[in-house]
Amino acid sequence: MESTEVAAYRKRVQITRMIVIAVLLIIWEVTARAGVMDVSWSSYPSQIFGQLSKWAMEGILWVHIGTTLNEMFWGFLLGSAMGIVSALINGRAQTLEKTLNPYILAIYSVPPVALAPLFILWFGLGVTGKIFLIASIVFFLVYLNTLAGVKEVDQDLIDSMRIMGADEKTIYTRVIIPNAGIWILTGLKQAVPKAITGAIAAEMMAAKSGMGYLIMESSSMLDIGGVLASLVVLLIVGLALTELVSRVERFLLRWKTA
Amino acid sequence: MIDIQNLSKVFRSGGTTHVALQKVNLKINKGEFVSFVGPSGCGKSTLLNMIAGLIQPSEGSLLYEGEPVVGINQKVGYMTQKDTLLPWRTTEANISVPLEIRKISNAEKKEKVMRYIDMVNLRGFENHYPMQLSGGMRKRAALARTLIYDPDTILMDEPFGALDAQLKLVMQDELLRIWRETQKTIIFVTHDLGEAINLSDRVVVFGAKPGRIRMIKKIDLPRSRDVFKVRFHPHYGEIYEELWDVLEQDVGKGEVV
Amino acid sequence: MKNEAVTIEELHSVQQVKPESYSVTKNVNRLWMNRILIGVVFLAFWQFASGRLIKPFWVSDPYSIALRLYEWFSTGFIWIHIQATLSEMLIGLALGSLLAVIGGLLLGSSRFLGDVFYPIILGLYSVPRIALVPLFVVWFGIGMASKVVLVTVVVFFLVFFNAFTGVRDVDQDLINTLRIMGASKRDIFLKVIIPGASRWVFTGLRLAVPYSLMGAVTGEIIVANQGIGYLVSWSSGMFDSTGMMAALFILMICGVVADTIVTRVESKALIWKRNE
Repeated sequence: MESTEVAAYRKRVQITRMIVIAVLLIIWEVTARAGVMDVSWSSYPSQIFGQLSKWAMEGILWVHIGTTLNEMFWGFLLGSAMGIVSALINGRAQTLEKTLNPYILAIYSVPPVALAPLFILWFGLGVTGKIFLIASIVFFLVYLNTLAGVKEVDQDLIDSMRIMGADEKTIYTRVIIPNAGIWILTGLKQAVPKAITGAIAAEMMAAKSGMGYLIMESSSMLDIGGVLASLVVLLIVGLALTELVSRVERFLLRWKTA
Repeated sequence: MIDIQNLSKVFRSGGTTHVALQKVNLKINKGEFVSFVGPSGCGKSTLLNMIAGLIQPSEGSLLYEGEPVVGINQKVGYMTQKDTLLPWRTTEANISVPLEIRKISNAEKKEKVMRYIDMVNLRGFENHYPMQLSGGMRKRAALARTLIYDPDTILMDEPFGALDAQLKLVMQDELLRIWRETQKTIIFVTHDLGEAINLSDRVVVFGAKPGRIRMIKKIDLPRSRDVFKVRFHPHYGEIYEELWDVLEQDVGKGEVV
Repeated sequence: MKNEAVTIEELHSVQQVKPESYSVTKNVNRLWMNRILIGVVFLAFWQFASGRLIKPFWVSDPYSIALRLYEWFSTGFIWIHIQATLSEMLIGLALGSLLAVIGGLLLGSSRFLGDVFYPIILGLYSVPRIALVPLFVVWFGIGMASKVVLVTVVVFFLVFFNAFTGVRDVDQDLINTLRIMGASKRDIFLKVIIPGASRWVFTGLRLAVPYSLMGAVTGEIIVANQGIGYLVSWSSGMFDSTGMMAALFILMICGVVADTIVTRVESKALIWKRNE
């Protein structure tokens, strides 16, 4: 296709999309105001926006976002560290890895959300339990991916290093870890949405603060406007985090050509 | 039958302009076997696609049987280097696709398909999937599929490019046999000069940067050609040399065999 | 002194001395023995530690869990809950897949509509599905309905992206070839796009099964009155670690079974694609 046609097409698509969204929002707002729709059931755009502004200005919004992000940060750190280390160990200790494998996969098949009540039982309402929950979610994904990365290293490459006289430690640092690096990144990327899910789930069940808590609070008051407002915040935070991870990935992998 | 006058095609992308074809003039007659030869990027495949109606000209005219080509030209058959058999259908089912499209009755369809399977020597492999066939067999199935709806013209874009040298000759032989039997017009794109000379009535040599026709030569070798032995014909050498001299001007700009 | 370079091939060939078959079976048997051994040791340690090294309140013990499971199954108590979870899962799976396949095929085939709506759907995907649970509960109640809707949404996203990509992924050359043969848009849709996209769709459906289970259980954990997930959170609320562990165990088994069944089904469905 010639490029001027392509550019024009893309413009058309973007404009249509914005019009579609705008039209839907307008219809929503208008039907709500006209009293045609049951607002207590569906809420409407300006109510949602109003709630958001109120929360933002009262500072409530930032507190809750902060709690969730805080849990995620520490959980990620802990989970990745443990995942990477375990995978490095198991990667080279083949028998150990093969023996433990079915158990790890079995625990992995339990939805992380189901483990939330367990962690709440153990650690109570506070932030600690959420951090450990997120850490375990992240651990599995990072472990499995790092393991794949460690195993995948070209045996020929390692052998040629050995012939050159390299010892185990050098082989580790110069060959295995950089190669596994890409896989680790993939694991971390996959872990982000799951970690968000875990954090929100735990907060919804038992917490004093956090995005999940906010959603539960609004829903228990049957405040749909509040619930939808929280969801909008979640949407934005989720998109921001995914974008952040993409940026980091692109930066770290800039030496890789397409 | 095909009348090309002052044809040009320009591709624009970003800030760059690529002249794929520049002022091409060519007439192809009914029943002729014509080859397009040239290095990569000389526009031979582009011209083929324009005859098929997949691309529109930037300038000039392309008339097929007196009418300009608007949209996909459904009077032609097209065979590419990459075989486009539907991987989830058997040989028989693949060959019957054009008939299904034309809503031919089942009985008539079956009979016709088997006839064409025999024509390309694939009897016994009707129920195989493409994945189970060799490269040469897939080509033959694709050829049968192209012939079965009886298009007047067959366009072939390096159809034998992926085959090994021996198999190429075998397929060329088959192609000539089928051409004699069906008397179609064939336009054959290749970068193998020997192949072009083996098969054609006329060879059109293309040049690159910009794409254009450098020479159109009638091949003065007797018909009823034996592709395995034609290279020993006394005139073969001169013809090859003459065409090669023209092609050589573009060697280094692209790939020529 | 001779300086002979050792090639990689030679290095490898020296290592391949043992006859293959004998040592392979022997190793596999040993592997399983090791696995079972570790499992038994772990359980034994757990049993031992509970009450002596750590309060049973926190982790319960294998024996009590086994007992509780027996109790649940023999009294039939468990079946109501398993049935609830399975129904939510299957109904949601059916609804979600149907909507997703239709949506994916339609939006995938239309270049313009697909390009307009795909990013919107992708954006909505950023909301973690569990966050929708409270909303659905307010709208549809505590019972199974809200979980069915949740599972439908979960499955929809999964299968939709696959169906959409499956359509877009179809080789343009195949389409062109058929167009030249005289195929109409309808011909192309039925003969090329649908069979071509089917592989992607099946993969999506395969993924959807364990995720639909997860969705149902997740919804139940947060708010419900029946189901396996409900048992987990109910036990937690009652500080009943035995019940919680028992429920988690059932969950684990269900997950493994669901996944195994699906793997079997998938390999049968697509014979013509073996090495791709």
